Amino acid sequence: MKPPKPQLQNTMTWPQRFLIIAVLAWFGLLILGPAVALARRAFAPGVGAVFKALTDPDAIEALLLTAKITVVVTISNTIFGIAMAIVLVRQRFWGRRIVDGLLDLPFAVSPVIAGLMLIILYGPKSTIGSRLESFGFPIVYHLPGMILAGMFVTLPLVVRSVAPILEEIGSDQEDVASTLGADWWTTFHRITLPTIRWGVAYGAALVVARSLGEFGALLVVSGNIIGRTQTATLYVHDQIESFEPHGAYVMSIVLATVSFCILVGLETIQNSVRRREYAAEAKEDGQGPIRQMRRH
Amino acid sequence: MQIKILDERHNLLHIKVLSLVSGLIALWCSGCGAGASVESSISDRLTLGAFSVTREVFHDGLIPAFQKVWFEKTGRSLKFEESYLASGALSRAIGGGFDADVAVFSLDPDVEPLVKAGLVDQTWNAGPSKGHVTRSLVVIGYRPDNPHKIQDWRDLAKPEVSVVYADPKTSGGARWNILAAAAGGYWPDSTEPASGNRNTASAESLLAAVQKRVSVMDGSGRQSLATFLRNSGDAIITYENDLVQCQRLTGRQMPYVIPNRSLWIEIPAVEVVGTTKKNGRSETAKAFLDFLKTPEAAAIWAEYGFRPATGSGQVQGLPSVPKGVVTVAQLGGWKKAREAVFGIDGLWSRGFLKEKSRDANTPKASGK
Amino acid sequence: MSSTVDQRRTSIYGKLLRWGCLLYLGVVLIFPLSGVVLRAVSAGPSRIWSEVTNPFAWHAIMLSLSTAIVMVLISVFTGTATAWVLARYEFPGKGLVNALVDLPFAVPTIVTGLMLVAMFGPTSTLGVVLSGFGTPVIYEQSGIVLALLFVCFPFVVRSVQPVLENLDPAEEESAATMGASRWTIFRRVTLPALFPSIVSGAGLSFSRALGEFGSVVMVAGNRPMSTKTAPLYVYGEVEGFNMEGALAVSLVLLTCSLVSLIAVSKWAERQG
Repeated sequence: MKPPKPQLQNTMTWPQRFLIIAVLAWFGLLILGPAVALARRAFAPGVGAVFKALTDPDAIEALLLTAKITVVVTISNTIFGIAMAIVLVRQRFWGRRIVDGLLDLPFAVSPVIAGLMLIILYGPKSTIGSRLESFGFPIVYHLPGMILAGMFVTLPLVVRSVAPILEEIGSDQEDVASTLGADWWTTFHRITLPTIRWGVAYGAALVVARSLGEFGALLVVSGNIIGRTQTATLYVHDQIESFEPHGAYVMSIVLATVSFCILVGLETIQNSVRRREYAAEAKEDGQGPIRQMRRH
Repeated sequence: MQIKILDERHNLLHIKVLSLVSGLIALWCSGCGAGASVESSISDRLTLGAFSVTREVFHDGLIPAFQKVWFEKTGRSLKFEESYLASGALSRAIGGGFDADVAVFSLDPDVEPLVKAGLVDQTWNAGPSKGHVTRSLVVIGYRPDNPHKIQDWRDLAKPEVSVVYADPKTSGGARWNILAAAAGGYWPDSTEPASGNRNTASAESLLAAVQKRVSVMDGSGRQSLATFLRNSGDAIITYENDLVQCQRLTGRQMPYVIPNRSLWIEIPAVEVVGTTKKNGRSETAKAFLDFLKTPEAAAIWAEYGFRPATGSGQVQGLPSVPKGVVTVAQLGGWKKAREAVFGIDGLWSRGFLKEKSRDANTPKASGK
Repeated sequence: MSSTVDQRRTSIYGKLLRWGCLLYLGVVLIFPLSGVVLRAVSAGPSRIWSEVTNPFAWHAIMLSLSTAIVMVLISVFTGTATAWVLARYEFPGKGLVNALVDLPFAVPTIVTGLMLVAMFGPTSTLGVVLSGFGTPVIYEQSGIVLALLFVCFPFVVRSVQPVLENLDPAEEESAATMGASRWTIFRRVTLPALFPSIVSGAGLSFSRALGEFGSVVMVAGNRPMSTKTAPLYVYGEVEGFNMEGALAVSLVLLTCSLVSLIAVSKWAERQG
C-alpha cells in the first residue's frame, strides 16, 4: 500500500547522517537519558532493596488504591466513551457541537484546576458536597472524589479514539442490519463493536496510562492520607520528602514501566491484527460482518 | 471458512472482555470487602494529621510509645492512621472533611479556620502551654566545615551563597523561617527586642537580600531539606529538630547555627472535636494529647531534636539557646506579624517587587 | 446519510443513550466547570481582576506563557526533524526510538520530574558540569522549558509522522527531476504539505504546556516572581486558602489554552 521508501540507506549523504545523529542525540538527552538516570538510581542499591521498597505496606496500599481508581475510571469512561461517540456521530441534536467542543476541555485544563473545580462543586463547603456528606457519601478527600478527578482528566480519550472510526465506516452496515431485523443490541455488538474495538482498546489503554499517572488533580482532591487516599503518584511525591527517596525511584519505575508496556503492547497487537485483517478483507471483498449476520 | 474463523474470534473477544470486566469488578469488590474486615477486627483507631516535619518523631517515636501505653492501660490495641502534609494543606483538608482525630500544625493560625468552623474547641489554647505540645528553633544549616563562614542572617546575603527554604504559601514552617529572619532584621543583636524600636527598613533589605540568594522553594519544609540533601544550596533555613533528625537518620553531618536573633517555633496540637464526637474517639484523642505532654513523651521529643513547650527550652545534647531568641508574641502576634511580612504590601512581598523593578532597569541582572 | 440519522433520532434507545451521556458529562465536566464560573461571577469582576493583576499572579501567568512559547518553538523543529528521520531513513535502533517517542505520554508527570532531576540535577554529573559553566538547568527557568519539552515531545512527532509517511513521493520526485535541490524540494513541496500537522501538534503542545504541573513542580524551584508558573501559583493559592486568587488565574489559563485549541482547529478547518 505504501509507496516504497526512497532507499536512502546506501546513498545517504553527510547532511542526512548529521541530521540523524542530531535527532538521536537530542532524543537521547531529552528522553532516554533521564529515563536511564532514574532507572540507575532505582537499581543502584541492589535488587534486594528494590524488593524491600516494593513490599513496603504503604507502597502496596498506594498501588492498590491506584489500581482501584484506574479500574473504575477505565470501565466507566470506556462505556461512556463508546456511548458518547455513537451519540455524537450518529445523532443530530441541538447543542451537539457544544458538547463536541466541551469534550476537549479536559485536554486544556490544568490538572490542578481540575482538582480545584471538583473542590468548589463537591467540596464539603459546597451545597452539593455538604448535602451528599450528610447522606454519608463524602466526595472530596475520599475515594469518590479521586475517581471523579480521574474521570475528568481522562474523559475525552475513548471518545476521541472511537469517534473518527465510526465516522469513517459510516452507518451503512448498521442500517442494513436493522433492516434485516436485528435489534439495536445485536446491531451494536455484532456490527459496531467489532469495527471500533481497536479504537476502544487504544482509548482505554490511554485512560489506564493517564489515570495511573495522574498527580496534580489528585494532590488537590485527595488529602493524601497515607494508607487511605494516597495513590502511587502521591506516594512518590511523599517519598521525595523522606531522607532516602529510594522508594520514590522504585515506585516511579514501576508506574512508568506498566503504562509504557500497556501502550507499546497495544500498539504492537493492533498493528499485527490490522495487518491480518487487511489480508482477510482483501480476500473477502470487504463485507465481512454483514455476511456473518446473514449466515447466522 | 474464513468467515467462520472471524466469527469465532469475535465471540472469543466478547468472552474475554466480559470475563476481564467481571474479574475486575470482583477484584474491586473483594478489595472493599477486605478493607471492611480489617476495620472490624481492630478495636481502637486514631487518625493523626500532622505537618510534615513531625513525621519521624510520631511515626517512629511517639506513636509506638503511646500504643504501648494504651495497650497497658486498656488491654486493647490501637491502630493509627497517619497523614503528613504541609501545615496549610492539612488545615484545609480537615476543614474540608478529612476526618483526623488529632491534628498537629506548625503554627497557630492554621488552627483558627477550624475553630471558626466549629471543628476545634475555642479553648484549645488555654492552659500553661497555650495549646502547644513542643517547640523548636529556627536555625541555619550549612555544609560541613562551613565553607562560606555562615554565622548569622547577614551571611546569607553574601553573593556566593545559595539558600533553600520552603514556600510560605504552602508551608507553615517557611513562615516561621522567614519571620525569624525578619526578627533578625528588626532588632540587630545590640537592641532590645521591643515593638517600639523595630528597624523595618533593615528587615526589608535583609529579607530581600536573602530571598535573592534562594534557589529552590519547595512545597513543604521537609521537601526543602530533601532538596538540600540532594546538594542544592549552601545553606538552609529550617527547624532545628529537622536537622537533628536528619543527622540521626542518614548519618550525614548536618551542622547548623542558631542565629542570635532566632524565633521560638511553637507547635500546637489539637483534638478535632468535629471528628471525635462523630466517631466516638474523643477519649482516645484526649489521652494521646495528654501523653504528648508527659515526661516520657518529652524524652522522645528531645531525642528527635525538639525542645519542651515551656520553660527555658534547654535540652541536654542540643546547643544552648541564645539570649536573643524571641517569640511570635514579641513580633506582635501572628495576625500582625503575618500582615507585616507576608501581606501583599508586607516586607517580604515588597522585596520581590523592588527586585523586579531593579531587574527591569538592568536587564542583565543575575537570574538568581 | 442524513436521512438515516434523522430516522435514528426517533429511537427511544437513542434518546436514552444521549441523555445518559449528557448526564455523565454533566456530573464529571459541565457542573464543575459552571461551578467555577459561578464562583468567579459571585466574587465579582473587580476582585478577579485585582487577583489577576497582582504582580505575583501576573508574573506567573507570563512565565507560563513564555516558557510554553519557547518550548513550542524548539519542539516544532526537533519534532519535525524526529518525524522526518523516523519516516524517511533506516538506521540501527529505529524501532526502539519509534517506540520510546510515546514514553512521555506514558510516564506519570511527577516521575518525569524525578527523571529530569536525576539526569540534570545538582547531584548528577551533568548537573555539576552545567552549573560549572554557570548555566544550571534544574530550579531555573530553563528547567521549566526542559520539563515541558519532555512532556510535549510526542505531540509534534506524532502528528507530523503519519502525514510524512503517507505523502505521495511523486511530487518530490518530479521536483527532483526538474533539477530542484533537496532543500528547495523540502521548502517548496514537503513543508507546505506538513504545515497543518505541525501547527496542530504545536497547538496541542502549547495548551498542554500551559497547564503542566507534576513535572514542573519538581524542576522549577517554585520561586515567586522568578520560577513559579501559573499552575504552581494556583496550587499555592488553593493551599493558602485564597480560592479567589486560584480561580482568577485558573480562568486566565483556561481561556488561553481554549483559545489556542480552538484557533488551531478553526485554522485547520479553513485549510481544508
